[in-house]
Amino acid sequence: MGQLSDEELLVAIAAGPGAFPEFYRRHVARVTGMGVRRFDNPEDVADFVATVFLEVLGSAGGFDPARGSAVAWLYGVGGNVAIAMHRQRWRAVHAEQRISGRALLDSDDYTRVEEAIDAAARLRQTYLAMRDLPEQDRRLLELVAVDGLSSREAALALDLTPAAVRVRMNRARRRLRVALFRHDGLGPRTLHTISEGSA
Amino acid sequence: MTTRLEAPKGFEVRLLHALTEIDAARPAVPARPSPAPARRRRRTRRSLTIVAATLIVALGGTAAASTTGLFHSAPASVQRIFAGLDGHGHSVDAAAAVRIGVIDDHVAYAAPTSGGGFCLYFGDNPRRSGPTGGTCLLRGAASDEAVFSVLIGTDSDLLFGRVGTTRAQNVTATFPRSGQTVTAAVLDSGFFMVKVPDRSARSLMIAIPPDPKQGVISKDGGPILSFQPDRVLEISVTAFDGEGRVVAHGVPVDQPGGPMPTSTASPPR
Repeated sequence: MGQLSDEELLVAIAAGPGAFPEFYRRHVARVTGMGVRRFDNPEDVADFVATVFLEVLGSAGGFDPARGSAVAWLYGVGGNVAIAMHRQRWRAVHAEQRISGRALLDSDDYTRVEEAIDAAARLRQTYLAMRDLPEQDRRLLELVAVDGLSSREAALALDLTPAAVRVRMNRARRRLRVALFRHDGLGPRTLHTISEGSA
Repeated sequence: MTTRLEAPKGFEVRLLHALTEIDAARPAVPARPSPAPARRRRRTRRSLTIVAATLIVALGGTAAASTTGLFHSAPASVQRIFAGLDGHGHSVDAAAAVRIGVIDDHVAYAAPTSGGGFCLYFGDNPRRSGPTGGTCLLRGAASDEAVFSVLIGTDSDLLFGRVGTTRAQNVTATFPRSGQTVTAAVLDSGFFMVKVPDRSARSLMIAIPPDPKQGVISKDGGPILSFQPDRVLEISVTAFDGEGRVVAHGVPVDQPGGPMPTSTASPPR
């Protein structure tokens, strides 16, 4: 499995058992990173990681290598999971939590994940400020400003053309500038980070 | 986009074990034309629901792994059961029994035997049918071997065994006649177990037509399915490391007294 590309692994996952562990090993750090930039406690981060990879198992059949890279697809899955989890929290549907990733945490994990959460505080603040943006704009800005994808990679993840990404990014930045000042008082440094498209 | 190659640690390792069990339990999907988008979406949701339900079961087994990665010691009640097992000339080290996983909500435990083999025991679960009781594989696995056998159940059959090398991460088993292949994650201490898909379980049996004159009678008048131990020899088992390299080959091993039928309250297949 080690010699297969990410895209080939996803196709193999869709076809049956065996390829998933390799895909997981390659990307779990990336997905955990997405988690700490979106959630402020280790339990939610663990649930997020578990749910994302569960979705990978269930949805790999929907991946089309012709439409983009596996990593871009994975970020798309992660974005959907994060939105669903936040909505679930808002609706207080804890009783129907399907995944118990938090049950896997031990004390060392808490320390490690909390450190990562602290390190991602600024990015998470930006992420939370994006909640008020229209969904399409928010998804795009999340990938670029929070996860550090390039505009091209974000375009692949969201199945948008590069031109559409440029238009949406300009619009999203303007809207986020307002949201950041209104909610969190974040200054020009954060906006500069977003303008540069780096995380 | 670059691929990160950091080794998982902590809860990510335990999550990998849980998800790998789910992955291994998935059926292989034959290649087929792409369905219409709307239909595909519905199908994905349905399969995800099934997988999610399975995950909760699997997490119950692997979430208990300790921080060192070693599986929990078996409780005293289970150790007492191992101590009372007939090791067929070998002593069972009941104090070394560990919990190795969960199948159908039934917790599996294993204890080493003096001959290098091990005994397996499934805990009871009155709320759900599944494997119960125990059996032993008294032959140990050499460093390039994966000893295995099949446990026959009324709900489902189980292929189980142990790999002799710590390099093994997955075991694949291909069944005779059905041609189906399943993959199981190698758990701590080299144990592995995976449910035998129904079609493959059927391939390990022969159908005997009822013959009242000969005293062969079935309840529903249909054929009687009889497990054929010699067909276990035809199962091809191979263990792979994390890079997909073969690190051990399968060696079918007899269970003393033959495969032990499990006793459950469920209706027969």
